[in-house]
Amino acid sequence: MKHSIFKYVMISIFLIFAVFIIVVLISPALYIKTSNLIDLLINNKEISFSLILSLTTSLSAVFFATIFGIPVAYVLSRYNFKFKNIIDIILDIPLVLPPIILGLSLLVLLGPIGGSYLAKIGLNFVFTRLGIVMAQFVVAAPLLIRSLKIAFSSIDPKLEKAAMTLGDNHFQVFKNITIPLSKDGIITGVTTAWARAMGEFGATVMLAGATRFKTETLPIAVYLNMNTGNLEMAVTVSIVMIIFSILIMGILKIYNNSNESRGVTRWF
Amino acid sequence: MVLKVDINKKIKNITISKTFELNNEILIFYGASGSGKTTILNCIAGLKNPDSGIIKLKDKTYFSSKTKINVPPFKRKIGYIFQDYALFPHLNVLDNIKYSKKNINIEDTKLNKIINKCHVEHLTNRYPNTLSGGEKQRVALARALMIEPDLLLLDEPLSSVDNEMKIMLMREIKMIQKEWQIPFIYVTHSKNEARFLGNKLLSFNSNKEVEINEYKENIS
Repeated sequence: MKHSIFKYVMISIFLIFAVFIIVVLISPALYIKTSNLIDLLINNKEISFSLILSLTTSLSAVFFATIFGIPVAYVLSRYNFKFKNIIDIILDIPLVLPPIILGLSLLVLLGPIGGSYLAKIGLNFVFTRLGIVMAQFVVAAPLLIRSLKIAFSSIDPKLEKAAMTLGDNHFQVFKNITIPLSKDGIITGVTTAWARAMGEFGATVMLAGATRFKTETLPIAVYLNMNTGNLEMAVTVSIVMIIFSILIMGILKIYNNSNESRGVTRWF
Repeated sequence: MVLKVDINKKIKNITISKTFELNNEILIFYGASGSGKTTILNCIAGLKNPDSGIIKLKDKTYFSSKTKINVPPFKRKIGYIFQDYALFPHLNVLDNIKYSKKNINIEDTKLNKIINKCHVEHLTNRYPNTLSGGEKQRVALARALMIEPDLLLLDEPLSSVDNEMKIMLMREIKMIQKEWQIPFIYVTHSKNEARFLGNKLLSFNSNKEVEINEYKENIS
């Protein structure tokens, strides 16, 4: 009897929370007429510009995050060195720091402090698309590194040693053993980092600004349209982002479920 | 002598010193857990660096602190069977066995000879997580033999198999050593395994700071 009361309490709280989140997610769709939504999605150039800009910048940011993230996570999971724990904590700080603070730090670093030097080699980050990529990179990379760190740490180092005794050098071991065995962690990390980059707002608005048809990513399009009182447009862009998030989470869920049925470790 | 080892390795505050020579026979590393048996094995395989000393196999110097030679593990022809076999979970048995010779054909004579010798022909399409302890041991042995090693290291290879299987596998290990005519170093803390397999025994004792090598021709 006591057990069933416990069960009902837990399930009730679960249902209240789940229904609340579902209502939050569908509320933009309830606000706008379907015909207006379809018309805006098909004909509005601002939405297509923002979508393309968000996709290109976030994919670039995730590409660079992966290039840097894989070696960084590998070093943190495999090697011991002085101040390792402190560096590990520092690399996690962007995860908990408000993005707007990160954006401000980037603005100061890439503007007044180092902007003139970078401009000499043709790199301008402030109020440019390159700035969007940089802001998304700094916000998404720690998320990717955290996922990769868990993936690399879960591999038994003996497997890498065994490969070495079988004739593989360090690079071959990394290619033939480490990467295939951490594939699921890499896929999860890259996907969540991509989703995070797509939704990045705070750091982007500080470094790249919010200029219509220039640095207007999807979240910035929501912000600009809310500022000018165009709620219908802001809601439409929000719906695009919600659909994107549902797709990402759905793909990850299906991928993890198929892994679970094959007895592979679940990552997300 | 085929193998000559004279090395020192410090682990925490204890220095382990081991000196031995070996022909084509089975040397037992005998001692309690934590006494440094696996560490010395790893030094011989090149997975750890000794602090000083020399390791020579056949005519080749693999490690020498004097002449600063340290051949990496992937260039030493030393087969290694790890305690829990370290089979690659993402590869099937066949791909595990031919890992060191990825491009060879399934019909390769040497590959088939080793597969038959280790009795794993019926397992080739299976994955390591579906194998029993004894089957894993056989696959690990086949994989190590594929590199045509000049020396085979076995780190407590029978610790996770039942007694009946143990006797059978010990016989097979002895037979393969006789056939391949290369030195084997076999780590165990089981007296029975040491007595059955060993031609020589090297005892490890973790309590002493600097150990005196005990090198017996036969186990009493």
